[in-house]
Amino acid sequence: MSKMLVTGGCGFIGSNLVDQLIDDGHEVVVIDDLSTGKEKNLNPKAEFHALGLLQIGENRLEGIDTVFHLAAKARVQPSIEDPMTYHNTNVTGTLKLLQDSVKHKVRRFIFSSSSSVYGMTHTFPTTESSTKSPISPYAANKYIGEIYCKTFSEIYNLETICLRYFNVYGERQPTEGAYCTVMGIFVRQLLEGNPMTINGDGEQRRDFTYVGDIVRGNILASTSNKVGKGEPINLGSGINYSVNELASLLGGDRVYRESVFEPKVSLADNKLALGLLGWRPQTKLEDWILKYKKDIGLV
Amino acid sequence: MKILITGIAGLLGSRLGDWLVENTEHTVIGIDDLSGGYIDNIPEEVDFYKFDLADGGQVDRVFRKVKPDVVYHFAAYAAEGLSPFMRTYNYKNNLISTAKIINGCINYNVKRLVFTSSMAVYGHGHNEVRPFDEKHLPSPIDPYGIAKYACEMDIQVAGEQHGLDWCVIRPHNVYGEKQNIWDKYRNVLGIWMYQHMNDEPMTIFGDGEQTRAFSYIGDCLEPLYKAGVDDRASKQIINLGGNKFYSINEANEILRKVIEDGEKIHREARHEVKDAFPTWDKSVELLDYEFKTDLFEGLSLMWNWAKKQPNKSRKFWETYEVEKGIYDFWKK
Repeated sequence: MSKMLVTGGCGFIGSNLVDQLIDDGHEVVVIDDLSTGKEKNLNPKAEFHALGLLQIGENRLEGIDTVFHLAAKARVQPSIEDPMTYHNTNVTGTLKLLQDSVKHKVRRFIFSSSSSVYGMTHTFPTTESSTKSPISPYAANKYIGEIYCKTFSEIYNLETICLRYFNVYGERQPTEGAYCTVMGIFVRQLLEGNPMTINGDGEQRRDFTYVGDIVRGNILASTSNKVGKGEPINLGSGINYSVNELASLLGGDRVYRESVFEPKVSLADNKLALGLLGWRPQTKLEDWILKYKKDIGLV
Repeated sequence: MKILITGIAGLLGSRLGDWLVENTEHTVIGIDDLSGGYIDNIPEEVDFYKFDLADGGQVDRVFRKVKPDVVYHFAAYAAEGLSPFMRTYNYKNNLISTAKIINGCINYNVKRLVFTSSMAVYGHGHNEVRPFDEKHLPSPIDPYGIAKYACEMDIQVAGEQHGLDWCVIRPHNVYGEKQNIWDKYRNVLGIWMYQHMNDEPMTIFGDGEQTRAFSYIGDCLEPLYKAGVDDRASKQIINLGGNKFYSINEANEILRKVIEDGEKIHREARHEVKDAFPTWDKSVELLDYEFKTDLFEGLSLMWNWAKKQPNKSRKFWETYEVEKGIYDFWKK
């Protein structure tokens, strides 16, 4: 049993990861400033501190074996409005956590990155070595975080690994607020009896990845002996759906509105995850949506 | 086991209550007159009685009904600087109340009484010797410290004569979420937060070079629990808290860094101890205290909490028992 730190452990992905780590018998410390995370998501067996990343004190990482760094100010659009706040939390916050990890001899640091680092790429499926051209401060923050992870592995011998998530969905996905993803927005609209609003023609395609698969990817990343030098690894299902197809799976009326500046396609090449972590996605979007619709009373 | 906590609505009481509910199977009973604590601090699971401890009849009834195994006596009005201007209130609240608790513990066979005394018992330190060691002869410099010292002595006497088991804790300057930040007379960190939230500068008395060992409440909870149940703590006086000493100016700088804003202002110096520099080794050895939360992180936690608090009205005294020599900032 080792002691794990999960930042953002009250959030959508973080809380799912914490549950799994605790089920696996680990001691888990959660740090979350509750700006978007919810305390009701928090596993009661975790030790919890309601702190922002820049508020973590000098002793907090003592005895920690693995850091799962999920806390971030998320989403592309709001980062365009307030790049400085995003930078402070996502870049400076990550740097501080890396430094504390070195100081307290953390074994491995697992950084949650994002497929948004690819930006307007033209390579599909997208491999890890495809061109990175972030088109938002959020994506830039994540890319800088990756570079710091790699640098820290080089100069301080901290084992790091960067996981690039593709459009994550699943239990506890937010259905309201600025941090909501397209599926969350659709679900809220359906529950309220409203049509689903689609940006542009709805033909943009997204690689939707199940949160349970992301959790497993994190845990494999913490144990695999083939990684630790800041490797970026895609965690994506390798199958994509248009927003129209997603709307059809959910079922219901739609309205179309002006398009926003966003990539047309996301599709992960996930062979590296298989090779280095032994990771394969296990849950398919259509299967999960069927179950989810029953759970929330949409059928 | 049944655990009775006095001052259940205050910082130490409510936070130990939370901790016990979360980490143990014990039944928690609480008493508070809500003169300095707030009812929303009290954990739901606690069987709560509201009354003033100086009322001996009520104390006896609760002890008779509950038959507690361990008693944590935290209730006190801990405004040290105010005590010379509120002597009788101080002695009634701190000394007479404790006498009633001691009676209850003796009469109903309580297994151990944990009493929170104060750094105030050291005063400037006997012969100005520092660090303040539990073995040194106390030499308080104000009625608050005198009351706490008297309580300590009386508890030990009850231990000798009536076989009462006890543990006396002298906390360093403990702070954290659920602390009363609306009291004008006590706890510098809370006062600063209140001042900042109300667009006032944070006041520092004198040059601000006086030092205090600020200790985060979260690090003190398990040690406090052990003070009541661990054999090692039986009949021991223990300084409890962090091993890092901050000047008031440093603490103020750290808080302004946490808030990322704020101003300070220096006011006339008060009659107070220059350096409250206690030992901490006994708390490590007997209560397994660990200094996990530094002042920056602890203040961040407290500030995150304070920001979310409703703007409660500030407590102040309409009249003082003694007006002579009272500081300008407490005059009306």
